[in-house]
Amino acid sequence: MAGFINLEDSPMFQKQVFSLEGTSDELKDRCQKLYKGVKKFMGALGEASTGVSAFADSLEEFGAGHDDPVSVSIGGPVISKFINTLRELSSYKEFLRSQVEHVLLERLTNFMTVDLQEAKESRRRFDKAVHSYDQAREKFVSLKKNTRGDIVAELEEDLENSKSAFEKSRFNLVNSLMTIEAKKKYEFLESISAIMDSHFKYFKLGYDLLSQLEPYIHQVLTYAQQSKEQSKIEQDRFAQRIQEFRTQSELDSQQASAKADPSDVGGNHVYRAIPRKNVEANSVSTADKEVTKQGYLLKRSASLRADWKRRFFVLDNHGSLYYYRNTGNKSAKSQHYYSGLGEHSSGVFGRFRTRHNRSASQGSLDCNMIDLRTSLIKLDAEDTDLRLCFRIISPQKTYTLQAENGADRMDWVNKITAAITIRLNSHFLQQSPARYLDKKNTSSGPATENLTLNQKEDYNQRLNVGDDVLTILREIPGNNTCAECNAPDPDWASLNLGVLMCIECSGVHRNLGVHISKVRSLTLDVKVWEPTILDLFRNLGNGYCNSVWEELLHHLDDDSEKGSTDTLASVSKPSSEDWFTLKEKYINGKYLEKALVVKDEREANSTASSRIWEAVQSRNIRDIYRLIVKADANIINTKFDDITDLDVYHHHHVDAPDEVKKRHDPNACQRIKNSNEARNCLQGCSLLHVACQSGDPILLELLLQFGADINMRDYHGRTPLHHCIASGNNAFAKVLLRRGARPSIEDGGGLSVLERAMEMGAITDEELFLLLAECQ
Amino acid sequence: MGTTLGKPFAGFFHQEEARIVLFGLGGTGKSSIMHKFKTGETLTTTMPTVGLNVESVKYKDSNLCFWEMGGQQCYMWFPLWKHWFQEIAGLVLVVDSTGRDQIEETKDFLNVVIDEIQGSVPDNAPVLVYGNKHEVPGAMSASEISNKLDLTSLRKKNWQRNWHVQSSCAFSGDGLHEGLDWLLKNAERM
Repeated sequence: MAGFINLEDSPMFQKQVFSLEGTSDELKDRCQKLYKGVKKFMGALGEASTGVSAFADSLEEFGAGHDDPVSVSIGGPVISKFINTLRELSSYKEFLRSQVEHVLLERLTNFMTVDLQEAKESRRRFDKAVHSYDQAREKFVSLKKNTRGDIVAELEEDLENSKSAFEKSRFNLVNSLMTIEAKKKYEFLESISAIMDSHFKYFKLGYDLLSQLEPYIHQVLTYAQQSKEQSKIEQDRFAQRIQEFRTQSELDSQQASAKADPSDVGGNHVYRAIPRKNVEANSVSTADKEVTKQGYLLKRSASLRADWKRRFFVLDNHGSLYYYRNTGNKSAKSQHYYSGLGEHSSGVFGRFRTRHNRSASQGSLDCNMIDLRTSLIKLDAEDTDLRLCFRIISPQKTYTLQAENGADRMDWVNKITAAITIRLNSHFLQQSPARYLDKKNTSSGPATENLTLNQKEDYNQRLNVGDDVLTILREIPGNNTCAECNAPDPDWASLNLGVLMCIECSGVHRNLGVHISKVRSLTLDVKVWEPTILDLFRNLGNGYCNSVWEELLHHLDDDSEKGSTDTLASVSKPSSEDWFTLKEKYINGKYLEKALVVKDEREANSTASSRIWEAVQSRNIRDIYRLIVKADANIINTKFDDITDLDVYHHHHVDAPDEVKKRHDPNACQRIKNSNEARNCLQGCSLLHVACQSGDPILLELLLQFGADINMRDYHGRTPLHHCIASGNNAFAKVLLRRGARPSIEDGGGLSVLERAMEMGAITDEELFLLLAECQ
Repeated sequence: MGTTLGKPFAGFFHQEEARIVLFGLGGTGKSSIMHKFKTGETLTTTMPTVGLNVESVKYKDSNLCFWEMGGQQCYMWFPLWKHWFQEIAGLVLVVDSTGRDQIEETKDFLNVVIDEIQGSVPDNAPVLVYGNKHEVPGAMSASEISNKLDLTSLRKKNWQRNWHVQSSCAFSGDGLHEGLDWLLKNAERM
C-alpha cells in the first residue's frame, strides 16, 4: 500500500484501518507458528551438540588416556585426535544454536510482544475514546435553548476534550499499524538471512576442520586395513600352530605310552637314565635360559588334608625347577600391551613404540624353587594307587606330583631326570674336587683345605683326561655303538673284556660277576681311565672283540645267504629296542657259555698254551685276547714249564737235600751267573713274569685284567714283583703293588722284595719305597 | 631304634623314619640288597644306579628309609653328600667279597667318606659292612675284609664308632637280616 491517502476521519479511513488490523492478525498467527518451529529447531541443535560432546567424552574414557598400555593397544592416540575434532564440531553446533536463538527467536519474540501488542492496545484505547467522544457529543447537542451559559460552556469544553482525545488515539492506532506495516518488509528477511549466514559459517568451519584432517583420516583407514589383513594372516598362522600342537601332542602321547612299557617291566625301580645326547643337547645352550618344559601339575598339599593343588611348573635348561601359585589381582591378569603397532614402519606411528616398550606391571606370583641337586625322581607314590603319580625326593622334602595324562607324566619324568643330571654335572664342575682326590691319597691324615699348585694342575689334567676319555674310546672302531644291542653313544665299558656298552646292557654285565666282566662308567668312574687302560682299549675295541666273541654269528650271517635260516633265528643279536630279558639272555649266552665263539677243536690245550706264550713274547695283544677267549681251560696262568722240556734246562742229579735247596737260590743259578741277566732263567715263570720282563705296560694290563695270578712264583721262588725290581722297572713294580702284589713273599734265597731292592742299592723312588714298606 | 613319636599331629599320620645310607663301589650289590629288604624278592634286572635311590622299608617294628648312593660316581658328588647324610641312623658299606683287586680302593673310599661326614653325622653312628656275594667260591671272609679295610682304625679316630662285618648274599638274602639287626641294635644307643 502506498499509505493513507487521507488522514481525515471518514469511513474510507476506517476501512483502511480494519484492513491493516486484519493483516496484523494474520501476521501474528504466522509468527506464532514460526516461533514453535524455531524452538524445535533450537532444541534439536542443543541436543545434537550435547550428543556430540557426550560421544567425545565416551571416546576419551574408551581409549584416549596417556601412558596407558591398553589405550595404545587399541589406537588411543589416533582416537584422541578424533576426539578433539568432534569437540570442535560440537562447539560449532552450539554456536549455531545460539545464533538462531539471538538473531531469530529473540527478534521474533520482540515483534510479537511489542509491536503487535502495541497495535492491540492502541485499538482498545481508540475504541474507548470513540465511546467517550460519542457520549460527550450527545450531551452537548441535547442541550435546550434556555440552558444557562456556564453549563453550556462546560459541556462544550468536555466535547472539545473528548474530540481531542479521539483524534489523538486515532493517530496512535494508525501509527502502530504503520509501524507493523513498515517492519514486516525487512524484519523477517533480515533475521532469516542472518540465520542462513550462520548455517553457512557453521558448515564452512566444519568443512575446513575436516578438510585439514582428511589426509590423516585416510592414513588411519589405510593402516587399519593393513592391520586387518595382517591380523587375518596371524590368525591363520595361529590356527595352524594349534593344529600342529594338537598333532604333536598325539604323537608324543603315542611315543610316551610306547616308551613307558620297558621301564615298568623291572617293577619299582628308578627310571632309566636319559640318553646322553639328550643331556648334551640341553647343556649346549647354557648361556641363556630357556624353558625346557612347563605346564600344570597337581601337587599334593603338605597340610593334613593332603589334597591336590594345581600348580604351574617350569623347568628351564639350566636344570632349575620351580612352580607358581598365582595370587595376582584381577586387573593384573587383564593387563597386556599391544605389539602390532610396533611392527609398523610408518613414521607417523613411531612414537607408539616408546610406549610399547614399557613393561606392564604384573600381579604377584608366588614362586617356589625345588633344588634338584640333591633330589631324585621316582615313578610311584607309595601311599596312593593313582596311575599318574611321580615323586621328587630330596633329604629335606618329598614332592608328590600328579600329571594330567600318561604322556605328560613320562615327559616330565624324562626331562626332570635329565635336569638332575645337568645339575649334578654342573655342580661337579663348579666345585673343586681335587681335595677329595687328594684326601684319598692321605686318608689317614686330617682333611686339608689348601691346594698346592701341583694339585690344581693335576686336577686340571684330570678334568681334561675325563673329557678326552669319551672321545678317545668312542673313536675306536665299533665303539660308537653298544657291543651288545648297537645302541648309539655307549658310555659304559667292561675293563677286562675291552668293550663299550649302553647302560642297560651294563646292568646285565654286572650280573655276570667281576670274574667275567668288570663294569665301569666312561664319565663317572674318572679314576679308572689311566693311559694304559686307554691304550689297551685302543688295541681291542668293539669291532675286534665282537669278531672273536660273535665269530659264529658272522659265520651264520654268511650261511644265511645260502638259505640256512633255522639256526640264525635262535641266536640273533638284540637291538636297542628289544626287551631287557632278551638282551640278558643273549649276553649270558655270549660270555658265560661262549655260545658264539668258534672253538679250535683240532688243537689241544697244550698247543693253546704254546701259542699264547709265543703271543706274549711277541707282545701281540689281539692274539692274546683271542686265545684267552677261545681256550676251554684257563691259560692265563700258563708257565714256561708247560711248554718246555725241562730235562735239558737244568741238570737233574740225585743230590743230597741240601743240594736241592741250594739249586732254587737265584744267586746259585749258573745260567743267571753266566749271562748276568736275571731274566734269562725262565724256569717256572708265568706269562706275567714274561710281561714284566718285556716292559710293555699294555701287555701287563691285559694279563692283570684277565686275572693272572699276581703272586705266582717261578722256579727260584721269585714273583713278578721280584722280576721288576731285579730289572729296575720301578713303574711296573708300583703297578703290581697297587694291584695287590705282596712284597713280603720270599724268594728261593730267603729274601723279600724289599730286601732284594735294598741289596741292589738305595731305593731312589720314594713312592716305590713307601709302597714296599706299607705292604710289609 | 624303634618307633619314635614326633609332633602329636605328625605322629598320628606318619611315623618318623630312621635313615640308613648304603654306599660302596659300583657293582657290589647295593641295589640288590635294598630291593631284597623292600620287596623280599631278588632283583634280577639291575642297572647301574646313577645318582641316588630311596626306598622306605618297614622292617619288624621299625620304619626305615634306605638311601642308596650310586657307586659309579663315588668321588664326584662329595660336596652334596652332606645333604644326604644328615640325621642318618647308620651307614652301610657294601663290599664285593669276590673283588680282591678293589678292596684297597674300597678302604680309601671308606676313609674318605668317614672324614667327609664329620660334623654332619653323629659320632656314634654305626658302620655295617656287608661282605656281599660271599657264596661265590674264593670270596673273602668277614675277617679278611675286616683286616683289609683296616676297620679297627675307625675306632681309633672316634672311640664311639662301632663297626661290624657281615657276610651276605643279596640273591638268597643270607646274612642280610643279621646285619641289619646288628645295625638297629647299635643305632638305638643314639
